[in-house]
Amino acid sequence: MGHKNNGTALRSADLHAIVRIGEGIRGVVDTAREVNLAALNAMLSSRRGGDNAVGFRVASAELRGISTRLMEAMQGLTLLVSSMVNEVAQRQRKQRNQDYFRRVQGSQDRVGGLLSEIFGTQEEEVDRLSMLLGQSRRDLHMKASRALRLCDQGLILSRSALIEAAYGGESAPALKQVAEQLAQSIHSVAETLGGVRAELEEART
Amino acid sequence: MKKLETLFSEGTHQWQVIARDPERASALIDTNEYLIAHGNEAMLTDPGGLEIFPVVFSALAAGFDPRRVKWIFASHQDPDVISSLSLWLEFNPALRCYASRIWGSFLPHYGGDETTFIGLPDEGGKLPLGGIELDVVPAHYLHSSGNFHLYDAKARILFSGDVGAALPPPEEDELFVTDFDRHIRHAEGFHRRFMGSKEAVLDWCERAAVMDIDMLCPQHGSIYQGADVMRFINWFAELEVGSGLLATRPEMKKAA
Repeated sequence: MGHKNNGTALRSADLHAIVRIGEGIRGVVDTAREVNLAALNAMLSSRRGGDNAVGFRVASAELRGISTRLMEAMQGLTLLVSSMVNEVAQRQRKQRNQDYFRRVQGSQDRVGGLLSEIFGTQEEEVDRLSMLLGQSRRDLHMKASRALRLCDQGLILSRSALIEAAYGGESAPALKQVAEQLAQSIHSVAETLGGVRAELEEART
Repeated sequence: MKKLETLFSEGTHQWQVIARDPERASALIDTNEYLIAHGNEAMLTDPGGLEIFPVVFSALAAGFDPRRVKWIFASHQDPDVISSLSLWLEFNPALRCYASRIWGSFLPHYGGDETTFIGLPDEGGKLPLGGIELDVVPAHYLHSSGNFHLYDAKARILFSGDVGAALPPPEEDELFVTDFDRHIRHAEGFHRRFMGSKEAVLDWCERAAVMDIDMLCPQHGSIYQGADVMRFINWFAELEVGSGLLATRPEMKKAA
């Protein structure tokens, strides 16, 4: 019974990890949406700064573009996560069935021959699903890394926006406040994505 | 460990029961699985839940070639009846499962697809098995809304699903009823609560009373044989059912 519970706990750990990754992605989408709005706000605020705020306006527009690309990237990640949930659920079902048939074999040696073909097929199917899951994890890791590179660009741009805000004349304090908010949001996105990537690396080990 | 025991044997025609698992987890209700064989084919009635599949399969394989099981008969849709279906299909993907047609889109949640299920019409009918025919007996609302029993005129055995079921304490959990009055106390609460319609009870009793039955084989508890079969039918016809309503309609309690 203890062995059975261990197996169940290990298998549900996979599903829990994927759920945490999915939640991270949802968090990124929410924050990226905030960045998008904040960047739009920054572009509008920069108009009040006139020619002095042209640099700030350019940086804000770029940041807006980055947040849009981040949201698009998260859509791809969300699709990948749902296919992983499906793969994990299928593998869990197969492994659970394997457990039941192993319990048959354990109590009746003479039926072992009868079930050997089933064990072979089950093993192949679990291996196939494990390979699919591994591939999905690698894809997810790659996409999360790409999204993190976008965040790096966003952080550079948010620093530029902060510098450009200083040239905003009378609007400088307001622009500085917006630039700081942008930097904070991008930083938060990067942190969440870093967590997603770490989760994937942990699942791989 | 469950055991396969023979109830009827005449040539290649056999009824066997897989019953009594003293090692089962206490959270699980004990179940009886019946194997009906004729010629080269066999049918398993209410093969049970996922958790008991290993013991049912082991007990079956200890005395019978499980590859000969071509059919499953599900009296109704409950998990203790048929949730092991996906495992039986994994062993033999060609297995076909008979059940009320109303469960056609519910049962695939346990496994199988549109090719697995043969939907039985409300009025019942005949099922072929290795050259003979078994009678599908309607028992709707006893307790499930799409519910069937199975009668074998050759063996004079009625598989009665949850009708006749009892939940006796381990020390009284015999394969056959030996003391009807003592046994029926363990069936009373179950029937009062699980059977929802007096009309359905009387309909079934009228039908069962005219059948030639040597053994009445429920899915839980002991098997009724001989005179105890008619004793049970009479007892059931008199029983007030639908006790769940007492909780919300106290005036019924007073009347009872």
